[in-house]
Amino acid sequence: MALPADLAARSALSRVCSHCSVSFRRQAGARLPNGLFQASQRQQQQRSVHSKCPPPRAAVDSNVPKPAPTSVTKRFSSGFAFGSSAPAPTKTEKKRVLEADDLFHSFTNSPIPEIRKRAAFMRQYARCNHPDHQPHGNLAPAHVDFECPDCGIPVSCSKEHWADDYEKHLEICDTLRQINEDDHDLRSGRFFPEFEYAGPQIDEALINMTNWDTFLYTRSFLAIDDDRSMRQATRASAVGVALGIGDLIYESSNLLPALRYTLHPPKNGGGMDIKGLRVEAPPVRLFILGARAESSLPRDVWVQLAHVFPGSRIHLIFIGPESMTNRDNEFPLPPRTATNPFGAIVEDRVWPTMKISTIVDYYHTLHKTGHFYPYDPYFDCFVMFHPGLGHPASSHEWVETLPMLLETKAPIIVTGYTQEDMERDVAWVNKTAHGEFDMLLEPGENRFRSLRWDLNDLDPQDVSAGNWGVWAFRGKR
Amino acid sequence: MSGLRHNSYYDKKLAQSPALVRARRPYLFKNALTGLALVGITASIYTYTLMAVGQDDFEDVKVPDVPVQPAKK
Repeated sequence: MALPADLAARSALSRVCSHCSVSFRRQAGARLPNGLFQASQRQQQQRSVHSKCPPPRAAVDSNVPKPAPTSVTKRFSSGFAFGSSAPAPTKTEKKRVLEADDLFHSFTNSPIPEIRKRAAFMRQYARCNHPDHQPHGNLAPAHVDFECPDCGIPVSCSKEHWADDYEKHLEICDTLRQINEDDHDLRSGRFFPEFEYAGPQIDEALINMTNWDTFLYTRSFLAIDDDRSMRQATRASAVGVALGIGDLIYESSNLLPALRYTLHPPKNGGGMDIKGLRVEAPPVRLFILGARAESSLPRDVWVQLAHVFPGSRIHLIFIGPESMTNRDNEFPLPPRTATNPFGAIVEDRVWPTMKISTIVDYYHTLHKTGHFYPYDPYFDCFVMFHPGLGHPASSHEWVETLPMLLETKAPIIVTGYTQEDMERDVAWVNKTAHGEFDMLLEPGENRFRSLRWDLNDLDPQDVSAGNWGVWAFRGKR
Repeated sequence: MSGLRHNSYYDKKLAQSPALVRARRPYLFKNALTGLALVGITASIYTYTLMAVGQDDFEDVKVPDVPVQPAKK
């Protein structure tokens, strides 16, 4: 794929922190005709010079709620769905504000302003779940106002309702408290060794995908001893996102043989010299549909996928109207030109075998233009992270997309927040496309799910885990 | 592989860290069984050998009735 010079420059720019980018953009503009090489070289210079600037990863603030939500509460969790709220692990500037034994605080009176803001948001939008407020109850709906003293999260409209419904609350109170502490831990300003990622894997060392622990060990990550660190690592770093795919392809090796073969090609004896020239397979394309925070994850996370499959080239394509949200300062959307008809942001020096494109548009729009045609089950795969296929607030957006996905015959991997969420999606697909798809992977718990629980700010009773469940299907041949 | 000293999975006394214990957990019982089997087989071979050798009463060795006196000077 020929890459126009302006794309290259943009991809280089995209790696530079926003503080430095203004002057840099001017320079890069002047040198544009030189194209790729210049861009990448400059990028490296910039990165070394400005290594003190935090990488762009921290910029997405998860908890700034922008749109006023509608009455149907589309899942709006504090967590992964709306941004990697993981602070960038910068050693220099951050000061520790909370000690490890001082993590439990009431949300409303939290020492962390962001959490106070979240509490205010919850009080404004979340509703009390007491049966009296249900449609047949005798009270009008009310917003939450009372904070449970044990978990520090506003859950009920009044102390009476909280006490009345205490048994139900008790089921999740411990989890809520854990969420509370984890959220404070994330903003405690401590150094996060668990966000240090492992580098390339040597050929001789196989990766053990049995579970998180064996994976981290065989990938030579730093040891994560603490449970809390483990939760942060598996959720905030969201390696799990990348792994979800990797694991899936391992797990369903008899179901996705085509893709597995492509991702683990046999050694071809190629080398750097003329003798070593070989015909190389095209990159595996992973279409991540409905991408939200996934598109803003630190690129190190996605590069993990390249380390898991070192033998193949991978092209990640994030597609979705919500991708790159809130990142206009770092990733200004390029204009739609003849050479770049959908204004894709292309980052092609993420890793030698990995390229990332982001397109802020609906997939069905792209599909109709045939931009990615032809599709090949050996090289293409669709991934949808928590798409909410069956969710009343979002399913209408997928109605048009689903037949197109099935038409490509490529595998479609879907994850869900909870069992309920996943089963709702399965049921919706069953209803909408009955008899038109083959199940590749039966719905089940993802063994690389986020170990951390997340809170839905619009409904504090609703606790979920990123990528809790996973299943896969494809169009019937 | 920079050696155990720099490996975060072991502490200063070379004891396993909790992370390593967790990572080895799926294999704990199988490994223990394999170890037991190996030790058992070895031990039984030793035992068998000792018993087998112990049965020998050296009947084929001719022992003279009178000790042979060394030639006196």
